[in-house]
Amino acid sequence: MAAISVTAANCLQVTGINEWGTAAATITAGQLVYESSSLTFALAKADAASTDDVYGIALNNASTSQPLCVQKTGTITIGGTVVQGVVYCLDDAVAGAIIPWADLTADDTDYLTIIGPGTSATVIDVELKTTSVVLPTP
Amino acid sequence: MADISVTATAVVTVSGNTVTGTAGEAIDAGEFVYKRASDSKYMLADCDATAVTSDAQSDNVVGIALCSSGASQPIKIQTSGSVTINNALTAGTVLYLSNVAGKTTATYGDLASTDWITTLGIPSVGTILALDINRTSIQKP
Repeated sequence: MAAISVTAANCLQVTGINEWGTAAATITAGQLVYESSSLTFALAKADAASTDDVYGIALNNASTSQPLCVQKTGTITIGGTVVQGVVYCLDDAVAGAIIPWADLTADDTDYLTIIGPGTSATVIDVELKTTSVVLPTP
Repeated sequence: MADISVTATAVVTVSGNTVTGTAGEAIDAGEFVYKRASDSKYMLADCDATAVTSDAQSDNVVGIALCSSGASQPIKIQTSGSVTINNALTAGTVLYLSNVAGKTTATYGDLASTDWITTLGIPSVGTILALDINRTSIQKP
């Protein structure tokens, strides 16, 4: 299985806390972001320790320097298909993407960042955890 | 003349006040919005008489969207100050809310008879709009 295919317009916060910031690049709803050194939101990716610290999930579309709202806790209708009970993580291959834990491939130095489990076919329970654990290379 | 062509990705605040809320429909950065009374969601503003008849607030512009949002997604709106858009403006011209939802026109003559006049501001240069939103509640004769 690959990363979740998200339709940005269908990504909606259900419950929880969100926070406004500024996009450092083009970001669409449903993508995972981290807070850069310049305190702007950039696309997270699990292949580097500098980008694996997920701050939240984008809730709107923004281009560089535009405001971006990110969800940090609670539940979210992600805008794609998920599986109840499966734990989802930050992708190591596609920036900003969400992938089932079982599909992570440690092809280089990749880090485990948990997003949370699916609670239905459409909703993820947002329980962000940057483990900093390096995935073992097969 | 047609409505001003705004590139959504080029819209960035310079200074001024903003508000946040929830979009009631798909809204792109650079489009002007009003607040729907029934659910307090932001909608595309429209000066067309039919639109105003349908929702009396539709010409009551709150501000310009600074990001792009789908229905029920969060949105941030600039209500005063200056905003950068692409180089589509002429310094010193008065901009009006268009009779096309969310859009802006610099040409009074493009407004139709019975359109409700709402002015949006005056560009200081070709890329920067100084917001000065004024709902006149006057209809074009």
